[in-house]
Amino acid sequence: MLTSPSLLELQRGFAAAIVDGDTRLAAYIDARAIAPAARLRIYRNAVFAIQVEALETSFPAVRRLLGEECFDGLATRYAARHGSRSGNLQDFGATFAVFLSAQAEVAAFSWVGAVAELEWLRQECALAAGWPRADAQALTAALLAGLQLRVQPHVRVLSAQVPALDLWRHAMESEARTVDPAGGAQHVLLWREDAAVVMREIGASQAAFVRALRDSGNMEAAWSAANLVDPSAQAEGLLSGLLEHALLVP
Amino acid sequence: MSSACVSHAQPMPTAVGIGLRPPHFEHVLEHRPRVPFFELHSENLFCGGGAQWIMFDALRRDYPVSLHGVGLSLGSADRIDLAHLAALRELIRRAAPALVSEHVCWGAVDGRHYNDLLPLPYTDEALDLMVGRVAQLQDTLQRRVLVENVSSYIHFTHSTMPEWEFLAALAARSGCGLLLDVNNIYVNSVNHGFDPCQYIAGIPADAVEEMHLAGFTRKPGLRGALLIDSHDQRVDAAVWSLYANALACIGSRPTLIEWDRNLPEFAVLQDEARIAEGFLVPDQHADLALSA
Repeated sequence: MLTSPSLLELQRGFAAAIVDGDTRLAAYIDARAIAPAARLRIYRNAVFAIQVEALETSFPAVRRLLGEECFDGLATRYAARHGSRSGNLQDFGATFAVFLSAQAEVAAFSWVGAVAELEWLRQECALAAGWPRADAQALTAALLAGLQLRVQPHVRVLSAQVPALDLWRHAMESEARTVDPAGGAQHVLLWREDAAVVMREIGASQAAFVRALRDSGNMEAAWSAANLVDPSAQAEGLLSGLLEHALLVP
Repeated sequence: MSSACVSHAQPMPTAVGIGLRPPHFEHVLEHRPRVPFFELHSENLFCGGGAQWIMFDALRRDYPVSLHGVGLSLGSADRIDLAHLAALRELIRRAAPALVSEHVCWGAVDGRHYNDLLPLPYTDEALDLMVGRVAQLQDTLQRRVLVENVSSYIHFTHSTMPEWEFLAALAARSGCGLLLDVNNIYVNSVNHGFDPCQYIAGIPADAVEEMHLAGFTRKPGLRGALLIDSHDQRVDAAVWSLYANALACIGSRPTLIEWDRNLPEFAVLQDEARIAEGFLVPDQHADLALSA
């Protein structure tokens, strides 16, 4: 007679059935005309379908660029190898860009990781909190007074060695022009206007400025980071767009 | 349950609401349809802002709203995800929903989440664990929660009690309410071979605060009958019949139409809700929730 598993043993056995197709748990499952292994496969298939669908939702441009079959195969492999670390599927896929960059099948597509990273930043931007917008006068007064300014929580920056934004638009926008994937580096500012994510290409020094301001919350550190990239960078250029779209807050 | 638990202020009508999914947000905000309440998945509002919150803030001005969690994994044997619990507490504080619910299931072990509603064995060990976890949840949220019976494709041979006894004991010992998914009862009755009316007769009516209805699919190619809780079609005739039985045994309760895959036009969900309304004893408060 079998000894009943503890709840923890049962759940670890169930997990092994999902991840590896292990069927040792079958001894504790009532068959009722359907093999326990077949019953376990229903859950295995459902879990991967749910997680792959979450990746499809978060990475639509990568899926279009790679093709559905290739994407779904890679997504299934990612779900099996890495699994989810959260009960909230919105968190699933944070390391997908790094994973994609390391896969042999897409090694020829040097842009794939950058486009995936851009899509993950779009998701972060879409879901982040937002502070009340500061008006232009208040921002200007704060700047003149030398006060510290913070970046809105939904602002993100991508610096990629490939034209990631152009590739994303090529995939997602019907009127986008043809893109040369080897077309050089591209820096992208992302933010949210109401519910929509907005993206704009920016210069390298402005990308460094925004990234440093996000990370440190310190204007001096941000000016320094921008000047390291371009010693001739001017405040007006670095702040353009940020003031216009009220992406800074006193 | 802690004596410090507080009740919600927003009333939930005894009427038929609709589970609201993102493809229907725009339609609902634009047309403000006559729906007594909406239910949303809690995790979709764990984010700090954006489209989900813009929609939610607009929605709750005109409708009672309930929040239904799918990812807390109350039945995980090793630990509960404290970060998830904290996010839920913050959400409930910010959103103040009429009802808060989760599931009688597990979905994570050893830090890995499977993002599905996995079945528990109905044993004393699992019951003790669930009673403790529900108490922890209610203490954290400072309110009574509802827990829902899940559909399953597996019955563990070492279960020592039927599912309905497990639910009844969980409600009695933890003080939680029950969200009775009538479709899941029917699905499980076919999958595991029990009488669904016996199930309903074994549920304490006083504990039931909400019911769910949804569609299932029949899984082909197997030697035995197996139903999948697919939420992708209309409520089956057998489930309508069981719903009528549940209302007769338990009484009218707020009821929700759930549809998660292959979403039809919103009007189809309203039509399903109208059918369900036909089974309910009318609630004098239901119309108060309708602004349009």
